[in-house]
Amino acid sequence: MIPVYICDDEEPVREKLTHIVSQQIMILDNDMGPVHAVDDPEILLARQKENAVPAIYFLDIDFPGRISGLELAQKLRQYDPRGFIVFITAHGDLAFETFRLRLEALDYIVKGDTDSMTLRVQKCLESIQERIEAQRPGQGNYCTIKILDTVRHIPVDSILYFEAVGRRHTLQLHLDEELLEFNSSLDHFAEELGENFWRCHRSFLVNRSRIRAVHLKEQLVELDNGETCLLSRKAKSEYQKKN
Amino acid sequence: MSLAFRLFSVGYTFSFTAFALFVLAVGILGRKIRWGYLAMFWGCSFAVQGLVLGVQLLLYVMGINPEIISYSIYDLFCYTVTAIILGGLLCRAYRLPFLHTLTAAVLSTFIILTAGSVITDAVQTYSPLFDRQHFLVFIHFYVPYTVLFGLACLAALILRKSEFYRYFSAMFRSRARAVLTLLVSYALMCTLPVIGLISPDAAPDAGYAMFFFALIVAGLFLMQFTAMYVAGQDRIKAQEETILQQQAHMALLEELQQEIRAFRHDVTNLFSGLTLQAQEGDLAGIQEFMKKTSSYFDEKLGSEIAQMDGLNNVGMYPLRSLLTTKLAKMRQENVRAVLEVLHPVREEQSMDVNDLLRCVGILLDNAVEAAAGQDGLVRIVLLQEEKELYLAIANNYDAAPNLSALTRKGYTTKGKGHGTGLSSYRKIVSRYKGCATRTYLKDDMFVQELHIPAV
Repeated sequence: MIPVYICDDEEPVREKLTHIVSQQIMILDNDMGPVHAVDDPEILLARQKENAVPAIYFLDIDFPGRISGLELAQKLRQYDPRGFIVFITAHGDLAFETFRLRLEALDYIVKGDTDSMTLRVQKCLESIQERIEAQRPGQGNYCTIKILDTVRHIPVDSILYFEAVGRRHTLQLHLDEELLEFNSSLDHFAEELGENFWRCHRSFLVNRSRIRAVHLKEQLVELDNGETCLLSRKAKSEYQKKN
Repeated sequence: MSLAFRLFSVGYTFSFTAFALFVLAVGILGRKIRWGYLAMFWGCSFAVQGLVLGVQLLLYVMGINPEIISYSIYDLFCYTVTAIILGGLLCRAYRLPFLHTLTAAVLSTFIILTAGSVITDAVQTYSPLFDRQHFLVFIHFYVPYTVLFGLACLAALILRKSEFYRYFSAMFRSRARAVLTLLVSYALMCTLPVIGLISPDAAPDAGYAMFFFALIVAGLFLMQFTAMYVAGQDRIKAQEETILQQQAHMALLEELQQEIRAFRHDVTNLFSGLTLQAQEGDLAGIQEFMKKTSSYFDEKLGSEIAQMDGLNNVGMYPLRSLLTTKLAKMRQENVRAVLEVLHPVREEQSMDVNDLLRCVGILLDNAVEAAAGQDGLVRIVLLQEEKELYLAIANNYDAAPNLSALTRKGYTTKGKGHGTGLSSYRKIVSRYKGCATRTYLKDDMFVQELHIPAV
């Protein structure tokens, strides 16, 4: 069960949304719920730790006199990096791009008439459902990466390889459809990821399950998306001994 | 004289030369002294001097007269290696380009060594002879090197107070200019040893000293003048840019005004209709009207006002100007631009302003170039957080870029002559510790993120 939280300090909006969300969960008949409605962001932060993650959050964009929706979402993200965040806003001109890129927020719902809100909630829940189903096969194995203040959980299956570049301990992490560059050391990840990864060169750490072929003659390791990594002489002789 | 006293004296002169070199080079760069690096440089310069002495000693032990190689060659080697080490250390310490710090190091080496040799010569020529050896050594070695160090500190202070580094850094805007400056500095540095090489027995006297003082002064003046000229040129260019930015801003304001005028016209018309409906008591009609017009204002003026709000939150003036110009350019090229800056961006960032501008410029240019031909869209997000500045630039595309090829040098979708931007972007970012980048595709947008840790 994936818990659902609704946090808005206006009672009518909160009740309306709770009603809509509960109804939609029933219609969709999936394993979401129970729906917790709270008015105070602090209570939400406390409740989050009592229940399971990932969770679904419907958050008001601002709580006058208290923390902003952005800060609240950032705090929630620290504990639940894979949760689903949807914002509730009074006006359509919300700077949503910031929320979408920075907090990986899913969507936003404009407070208004019941019909359009219902439609939007339905769309959100459906897309959450899709995402959860898409995640399922690779579940269990995540690699945790901390970049400055942000913690990310990356499915190990999506990692192609790590490459150390430059002198200043910069690592390049090649994922499917994504490229990360940050300060860290290859040794750290070699230790954390263990046997499933192969240090095929001083500055390369490759996901074994993503290797397509090892070209001994050219001293290259080819990955399943066509990218290649270098193969050191030491790793080559190790490889030959094993096979 | 005891061996300990001799060693101490040699060490003293070496140390003070090293200190003077470091202090002056830092002064040229206009930074504050970092003691750890000073200590490191001190150690390195000892090692280099030790190496040269060791070679001489080795030759001596092997029965070869060390003077078979002219002392000037030893000097030249010593100076060059020391300058390179100093340049490297400063590059690490202040995160400046190596060419920049190396030139400062070379220049500093030139000044210190020339001044040092002139001062020692002067002291040796003009001081009366003493029959007490310790006193003689004191006058001949301790005084000149201490004076040298004092002079270096003074010069560094003056250079920093007069903001010489502004002119100096103007010399490094382009690669060709930087290389030329480095060569000139290096040639100056080599003058003394080379003269020693050509005429080994030129006796140091007052005229000789005057010549070198004149050389230092002339060299510095020349540099200062070129630098000022260059800085002037840059200022003119910057002013021209500011004018362009102001014009872009004016255009935005005018557009807004036009739209407000049209909006006013519309609203007047709409309201006269509404008044009629209200008089007739047509509640359903009024509700319909409310529904239709509630988002009308946002649709009409929302994006311009959001852009202005965003720009106002960027307190860092150079960055604001850059964004204004780029937004204007996008408007011209019919690329839709969305700018979101929710919180004021701090003026003080851990990345140097010029580097930040270059990064943002490269990312924006790439985004505009790669945005879809029809209905191009670029989104810019700047978010100041407590611990970092978050920057994201996203664009839509006609054909999805190949992410795995993106790290390759010179990758481009646009044919020859493109693709140098991204590699220099990576190079700049990798110079800063703690900075992280992320490149990914999301919802049909190509997103480039940059995280800069807060100071």
